[in-house]
Amino acid sequence: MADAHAAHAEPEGHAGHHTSIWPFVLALAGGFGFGGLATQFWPSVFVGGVLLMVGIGGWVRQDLYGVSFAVKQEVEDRPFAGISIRKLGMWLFIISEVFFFTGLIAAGLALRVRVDPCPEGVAALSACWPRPGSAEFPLNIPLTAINTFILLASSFTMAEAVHSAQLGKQGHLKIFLAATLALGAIFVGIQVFEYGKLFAENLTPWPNSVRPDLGTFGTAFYVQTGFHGAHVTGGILGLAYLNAMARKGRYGKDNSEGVEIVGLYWHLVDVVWIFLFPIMYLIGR
Amino acid sequence: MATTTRAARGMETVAHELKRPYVAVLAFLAIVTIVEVQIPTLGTAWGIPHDLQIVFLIGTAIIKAVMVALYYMHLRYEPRILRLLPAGPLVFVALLIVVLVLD
Repeated sequence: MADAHAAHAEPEGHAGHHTSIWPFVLALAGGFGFGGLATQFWPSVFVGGVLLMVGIGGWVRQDLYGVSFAVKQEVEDRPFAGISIRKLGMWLFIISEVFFFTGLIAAGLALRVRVDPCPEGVAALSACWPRPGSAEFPLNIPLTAINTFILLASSFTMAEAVHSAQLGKQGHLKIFLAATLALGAIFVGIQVFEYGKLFAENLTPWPNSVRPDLGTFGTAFYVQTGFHGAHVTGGILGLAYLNAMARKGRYGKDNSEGVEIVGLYWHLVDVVWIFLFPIMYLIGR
Repeated sequence: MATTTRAARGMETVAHELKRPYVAVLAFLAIVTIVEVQIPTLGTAWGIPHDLQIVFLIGTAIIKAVMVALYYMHLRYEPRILRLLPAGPLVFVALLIVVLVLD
């Protein structure tokens, strides 16, 4: 399949024309969608949703039938001369994600310092922050520690998958990609299970009359872990695509960049969780 | 053509680094996580100051993140400019922490 792609590759002289409109369409979708959500202007959300579908469809179609993705391009100008254009693009995206999650975690910390620690053994009368390790702490630390290990293990299998692709080991590539996908799905599954249990115990993202004291904690917890979970889910979609393409023999020694770039994103969600886990589960007020 | 030559050099670099410490990094990450999870309980039992617990947990998180970035994200094997690139936002992260502490 890699050969088939290479066979369709454009002549050397046209190497500079491997551009795509679809990232721009997806950026527009984000602008309309999130802008609409922020202002509660639903027609804008609808336009964002349509653009999202069109953008994803167009991008996948271009990737499936296009020729550009098998050709590795590198930046020719300093200071990034010699670095893959797509890899540099993914790193710039990762940096934007670091800004995003830093803002999110900072907002959570700002909420935390505005409430008192929860008293132990008695019901709190006002908003408070529960202490990890206390009987009143609502989150399941052992279960989430196991889940953390699952995500760390998925980073390991992803790194092995990238390495296998670079060495052209097709069998190893398929196994490690499938393992990464499975571990990612288990992580999200356990998180959904924990959410269900916490909702049943009245820890909600919004204030509720049964546990009004945990409203601030609930908001911080669900916003941070929810956005992270959404990123993991996005990564799972990317991994599903990689798995499908790997089964068709798409990746190999000469065409391993797709695996590497999705891998960088997957490690990003791992790094974010490395910070979120202690901040939400192990550090009190 | 220059692009092809550089790509070929890249493949050679990859071929030279067949032994990467992926398993050792995973073992390190797992062990540090096991230690981290004990902190809330041990902190109470041993009377470790809360601020010290925070410093320890954030410190171990930073070490774990650096390990993932260096080895799993291959920053250790990338050109210096790419290694420096992710350090840029860390300046702003530090700034944000300072503002939060002052708050």
